[in-house]
Parts: sequence; structure tokens; C-alpha cells
Amino acid sequence: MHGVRRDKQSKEAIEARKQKEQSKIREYLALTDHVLTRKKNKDYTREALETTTQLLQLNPEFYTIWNYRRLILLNGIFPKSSPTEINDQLSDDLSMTTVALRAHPKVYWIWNHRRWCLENVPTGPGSEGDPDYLGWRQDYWKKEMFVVEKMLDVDARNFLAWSYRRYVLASMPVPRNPKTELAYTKRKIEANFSNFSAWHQRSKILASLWAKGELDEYQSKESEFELIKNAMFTVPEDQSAWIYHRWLVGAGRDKGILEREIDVIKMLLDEQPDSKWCMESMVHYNLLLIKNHSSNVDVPKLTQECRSFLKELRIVDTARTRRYDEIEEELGA
Amino acid sequence: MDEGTFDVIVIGTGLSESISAAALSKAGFKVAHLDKNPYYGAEEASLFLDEFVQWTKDSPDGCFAFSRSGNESLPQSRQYSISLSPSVIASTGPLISSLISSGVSRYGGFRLLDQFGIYDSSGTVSRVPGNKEDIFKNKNISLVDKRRLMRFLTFAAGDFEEAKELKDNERAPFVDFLRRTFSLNDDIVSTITYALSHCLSASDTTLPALQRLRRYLRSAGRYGSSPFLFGHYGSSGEIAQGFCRTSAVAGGVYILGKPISSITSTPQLDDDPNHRNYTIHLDDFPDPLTCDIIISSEKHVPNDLVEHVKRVSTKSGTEAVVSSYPSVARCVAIIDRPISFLPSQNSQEGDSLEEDVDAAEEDDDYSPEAEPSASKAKPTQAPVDAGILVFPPSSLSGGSATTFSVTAFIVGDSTMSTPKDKWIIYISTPVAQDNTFSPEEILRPYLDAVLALALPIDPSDSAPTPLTPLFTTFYLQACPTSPSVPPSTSSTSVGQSSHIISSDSTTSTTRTYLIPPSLPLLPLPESPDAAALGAESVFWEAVNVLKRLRGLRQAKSELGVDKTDREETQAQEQREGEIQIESFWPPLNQNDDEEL
Repeated sequence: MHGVRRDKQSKEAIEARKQKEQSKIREYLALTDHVLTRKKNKDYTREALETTTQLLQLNPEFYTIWNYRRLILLNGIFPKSSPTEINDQLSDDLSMTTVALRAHPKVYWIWNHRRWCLENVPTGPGSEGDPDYLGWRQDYWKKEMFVVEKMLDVDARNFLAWSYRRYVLASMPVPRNPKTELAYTKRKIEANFSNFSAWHQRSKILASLWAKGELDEYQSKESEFELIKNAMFTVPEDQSAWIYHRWLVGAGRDKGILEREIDVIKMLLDEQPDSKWCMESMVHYNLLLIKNHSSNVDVPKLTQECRSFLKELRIVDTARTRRYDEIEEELGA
Repeated sequence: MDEGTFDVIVIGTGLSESISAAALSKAGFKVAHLDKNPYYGAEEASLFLDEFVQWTKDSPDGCFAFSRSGNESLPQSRQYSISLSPSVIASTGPLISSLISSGVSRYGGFRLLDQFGIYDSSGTVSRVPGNKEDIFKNKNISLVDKRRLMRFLTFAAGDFEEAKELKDNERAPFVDFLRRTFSLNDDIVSTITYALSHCLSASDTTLPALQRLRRYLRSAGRYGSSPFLFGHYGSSGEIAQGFCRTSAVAGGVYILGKPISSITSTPQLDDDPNHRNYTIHLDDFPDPLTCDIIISSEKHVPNDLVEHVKRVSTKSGTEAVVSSYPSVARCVAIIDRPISFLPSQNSQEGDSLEEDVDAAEEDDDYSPEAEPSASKAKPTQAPVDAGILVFPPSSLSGGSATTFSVTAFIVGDSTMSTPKDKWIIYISTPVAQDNTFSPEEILRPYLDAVLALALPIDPSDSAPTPLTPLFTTFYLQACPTSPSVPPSTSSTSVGQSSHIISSDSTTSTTRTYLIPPSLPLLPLPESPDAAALGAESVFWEAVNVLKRLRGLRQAKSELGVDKTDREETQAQEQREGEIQIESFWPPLNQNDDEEL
């Protein structure tokens, strides 16, 4: 913390802390032993469940214990419970993971357990044919979006959260309008455009909208080029912008777009002559021109340009010299 | 030691003095802190509305040419905190560090400023881009200009002192440097100079402007994207009061509302270990106070004590180098309708680059709680509740400020400085030596320009009713170091600043009357940090002087001492050995937590 002095640790204080840690370690090892023994003995009682709660609070990364917990629920608790009781138990487990996620937002096993809980929510509270037959499930999915958004507010680049977000969107009983999701990615990008996950999500949604014919691909791509150019010019070192740009250009079938984008990058390179990404992209796009439109372009000229960029790149980015060598070999072919 | 005897007496509870008093008390010295006003803060005080109105009528020190209009007795007076020295605190800097290290930050809350606008000559207000996200989103800057601006900001945020771009340009006008060396266009140059670096005129030089800019850039992101904080309840006065409170908790004695009748220096009587350098008498106060050191600003120094004075200067670094000007024109206005600089931050706004998809965004089946960040509202104009609007020189047609920029600072109830649905507009600008205009003549056009930004009561109203302030005052405030300060009318101040001898190294005697550096009134973010830096310099000077004096006293007391004084001598010896001060603020203890 800023401004708060650390108290100098006396020898006694350090010793005392060590002792405390040793006893904590002993406790933890004893508990682990205890729980694993129960597991071996296929103990699926509520008591066993409590021990897993304890152990998982201490170490939420211990995936064996998450597995054991699920076995207890499936084999020991659920068979003896009513749907309402199962629902309540799953609600408790979800709360447990929410708490754990706040402290450990990137532990896969916690996210997994959450998914498992959601997938095991029974039908209800109503019976088949009733309007609230899927009531419980719908409630949980609604809340899930809220939880994911909270996680992404805390860390917009948590790729586990983005992945989970896609899972929730896909699982919702009433699917969300993809355009809302598109606007969400836009919001995250505007908050900080160095966010590879947000751009990635955007690309996924756009691709789906184009495939379904819900958005005009050409128009939409033009807007995206506008958007991404701003990122490239503002921070040319940001690789997520370049990777998105590369996705937009795609295989380079449209010569007009390819040449236009090359000009834009040239403009940026003029302003920022040491930009490695500019040079690398120039090479990549020129290669696409050569490959796809050889009859309509000045191949020798473009090849020469590529060679001079590669030369510069070997100096600016020595770590990837061999890669540039390989690209140059490809040029010669 | 008896009750009226102190190590240090501090006169005036201004921000710098209060920080020194707190540090000295916490370091274990006996401090008395006096102020003739019944309130804390002195020239940086935050006053209730009726107190402020009364203040404008009382011929306060250094302020003159008052004019007032509107209702002088508005309701809810005590819910207003009007600052006599409107200022903002950089999120990284000496003041915030002192606030945290001293524990004073825990006494109150802070509001991060969140709206920054710059007025351009076409009469529109543009958002000031402060970080890469702002630049990314801005529709009014070309791609190439975005690159150049980012390159400049990256340069300015780094260690530029040895940079080749800066060589030989340190004293060039900042605007020229930006144009030539970074190829920036006029609009961007203006934005950087006046709204990011807070320069006051086109003749401001490069190095100080860059240093200031760097401090602000490095403050961005600490508590939020904006670099500046405003303390609740009027900031300046409340913070001064916070330091006084922490001083009192550490044993400092506070006497408010009693003017000083005299300050005299008592000559040293050879063997008297109880001797103290100064005696202060207060009106209506039974006993005199004595001390070894006095800390106060220039105006309190009596003529005959002038040789005791040491003007403490800030160690290196951030001198507030701004254009030299003798005074500042100020306006304080209270309004009951919000104003807006710019459209809302909402990404559905036309401000962002992509419009088509957002316009197509449809309503979902989900309740608002499930989607907290999906806003379905139509684009609205966000009211300013803590924001700064800068008018570069000559940006307002009809405005007389052609040399200096004008700064408007608006605060609303989220800063706890106003009742609900009321806002305070502070407007300030430096005034040149040869000025003949009244403060109202200077600032009225700028106030009108701000009022014209009022949001209509009815959103569909195309011709909204013009906004008239509930109360307005204009006045001039003299800058403390100016030689043309009009004579103070206060009964306690006998000296006039122009007569104080500035040399203080002519004799070898210890100077025991310490004067902190005076605070720059502008730009807005400078005064708090200048106060903290000055206070720290004064603190160390006082500590050194007190150590020296204790040493001398101990030496004297060792030469045959009266039995009756033995106990006291031992206490002194102990205290001498105890003066081990390693830092400006001692470590914060849990015991210091009075609340929470």
C-alpha cells in the first residue's frame, strides 16, 4: 500500500510467523489426507460434502476435490433430494464459486464447476407444460450474464471470462440479439482497445452475422476498417489491432481493398518509420497481392519492396530473423 | 514546560501552514496553531454561502474590487462549500502522498474530475483527449494527427530531460516547440498547451510546461482515467482542516478567532533554559504564548522582526513557473440548472465511430439488473458535476483575455460542495500589469459563454430559457509575491511585503521565523502540490533549527544547574536525544484510526 510503512520485522516476529505457517501446512495436509481417504472409500455423505467445502476454500485449484464434490452430489445427495432441494444445493454451490472467483478469477476448475451446476439444474418449479417449467434454469442464465459482466468489468482481458461468456450466450434458453453483443464488444474496445479477447469476440459475432445474412458483409467490413485504422494509428505497437486487420483483409481476394489498406499502412509507416508491425504487414499484404492478383500488379516491383522491408525487419526485429529469411525464400519461389 | 510554551507557533491555517503544523506535531514537537478567523483554511478556506457573501464584504486581505449580484441569502447556505482558492489535486504528487502518509485522506472523500472541455473559436466545446482511448474515439482528429499526438504524449510522459527533441528548446515558447518539433496542428497545440499542460499564455516556456504535463499524465489512471481529484466540501479548506485535525490529535493546540495583538522577540538571557525566542499576545486571551519558531506567511511579519525571517524555498523540481502577472480575476457563480460540455460518454453516441450497428441495437427480454452495462437510453448530454472548461487566449469573441487563458471549473452535489441541483461555477484568469478593466468586465463574457451551455429544462425544447445565476460575485485577488500588493488592512499585519529584506544568509544567527513559499493561484492543479512541497521544506528547516536550539540549551544546562531545574533539564536532555526524525510523516499506526 502506498504511504504505509512496513514495520521492521523482529527476529521473533519472523520466527512466530514461520511457526504459524508450519501449523497451517500441517492442518492442510491432514485435511487433504482425510478427504482423499473418504473419497477412496466412496463416502458420499453430507459430512463428506462439508469436508470438501472446507478444503476447496483453502485451495480452489485442487481439481480432484471438485470432482469428488460432484460425485458426492450426484451419487449421495441428489438421489435423496427433491427437485427444490437440488436447486437449493446448486444455488449454494454457485455462490461458493462466485466467492472463489472473486479471489481466483483465472482458475479453470471453478469455472468448470459453475458450468456443471448450471447444466444440472432440474426442470422446475413447474411441471411439464407449465409456463415456469424452465423457470429455475432461465433465472440462472439471466444471472450468469450478470456475473460474467462483473468479471469482465474487473478485468476486461480475462480470456476465461470471455470464453465463459460465449458459453452462456450459447446456452441461454432465449438467445440474446447478437447485435447487442456486438455493441458490448464495442464498449469494451472503447474502454481499452488493447483487448485481444474483445476484438476476437467481435470477429466471431460479425462472421456469424455475415453468414446468416443479417448484416451486409461489405458495408460492415468498411466500418470495421475505419474502426481498426484508428487503433493502428493511435498505438501502432498494439498487436491486437494488426491481427484484427489481418482477419478483415482475409485471403486478399479483393484487390481494391488490399491496395487501399496497403496505402493506409504506408501512410502510417511514413509517420512512424520504425514500426515493425507496419513493415511486417506490408510484406504480408504485398505477398497476398502477388499471390492472388499477379496478372494485375507489378510483381517485380512489389517483390523488391518486400525484400527491402524484410531487410529492415531483420534489423528492427532481430529475434525473428529466421522467420524473415523464410518469408524471403518464399518470395523467390 | 508550562502550558503557554511551545516549540513552534504557526500563524494562519492555510494549506501549507496546516501541513507543516501536522507534520511537526506528529514528529513530537509542541505546536500552537493560530488563526484570527473563526474558520480553518485562511486564504484556502471553504466557506458556507452566507460566510462567503460576508467575506466578500469584509475587505479580505489581498482581495479587492468586489461586485455582487443576485440573491445574497439563498436557502441551504450550509450545504455550500465555496472555496476561496479553487484547485484540484493531481492523483500522483506531493499533496496526495502527504494526505495518504498522514492519514488525513481517511477523514473525507474525493471526487475524480470527469469532464474536460476546451472552447474553440467557433463557439463549440470539444472534449479534451487525455489518454489513448480518448484519442482512439475522437472523430475530430485525423489519423496522422492521432499518431503525432500519441507520439508527443508518449514523449511527454517519459524522461525527456536528455532527449534530443528538447535540446536548446527548454526556454522556447511551448506552442512553437509543439508545432516545430512534433508537427502538430494549431488545434492540437492549443489543446495540449492550455487544456493538458494548463499553460496560462502563449509565452509559457517549454521545459516547465512539459514537466507539468508529465506530472498530470502520470497521474492519469491511478484512481480513474482522469488525473485530478477534488476533495469533498470544497477541497482546499476541508483538506487544510483535515491536517489541523491530525495536528490536534497529535497534541497541537488550536486557537481560532483571536487576532494577534503583538509578536515580540525576547532577547536571549544567557543562562535561562526557559528562554523562548518569541512571545505572542492574542486579543481577549489571558496568557501570552511563547515559542522558538514562528511559521507564517509574509503578511503577518511585524516590521521589527524582519531580520529573523527566512524565506524557505522548495528544494529543486517543481517551481510553479507561470507567466508573471500581478493578480487574478475571479468569478464565483451559483446556478440551479446543469450545464453540459459534451454529449454523453455512452458509446451509442455519435461521438464514437460506428453508428449503424448501435442504432440497430434492440431491446432484450432481460431485465435491467441482468444487463447493467447495456444502456438503452437515447443519447443524452451528461451534466457536468466536476469538470474543467478551458478558454485558450482569444478563443472567445468579445472576451478580453487575449494574453491569458481563462479557466472555468464547475462542481455539483456529487462533490458535496452544493445542495442537490445546484452547481458552483468558478472562473479565473490572470490579469496583466496594465489592465484597466474591472474583474466583472473581464469575466462576464466567459460566464455568459458557460451559462449558454446550460441544458434545457425540457429536453425537447429547442430554444431553452437562458440560465441566470442565483448569485454571482466578481473580484480581483493579488498574487502573493507581487510587489504591487495593496496594503493589508488587517490590524495584525504591520509589515508590507515589499519591505521585507530577502537576503537571509548575511548573519550566522539561526533564523527562526520561517516563511513558506507562497502558493501559485493558477493553474488549478498547482497550488495543492506547491503547498505540500513548501510545507515539507519548512518542516525540515524547523526540525534543524529546533535540534540546534535543543543542543545549545543542553550545553547551557550542563554548566552548573539549579536543583529546582534539574528535572526539567533531564527532560530536555531526553528530548534532545529523542529528536530522531527520519521522514516527513511517521508511519501510520492503527491507533490513528479514529473512525472506520
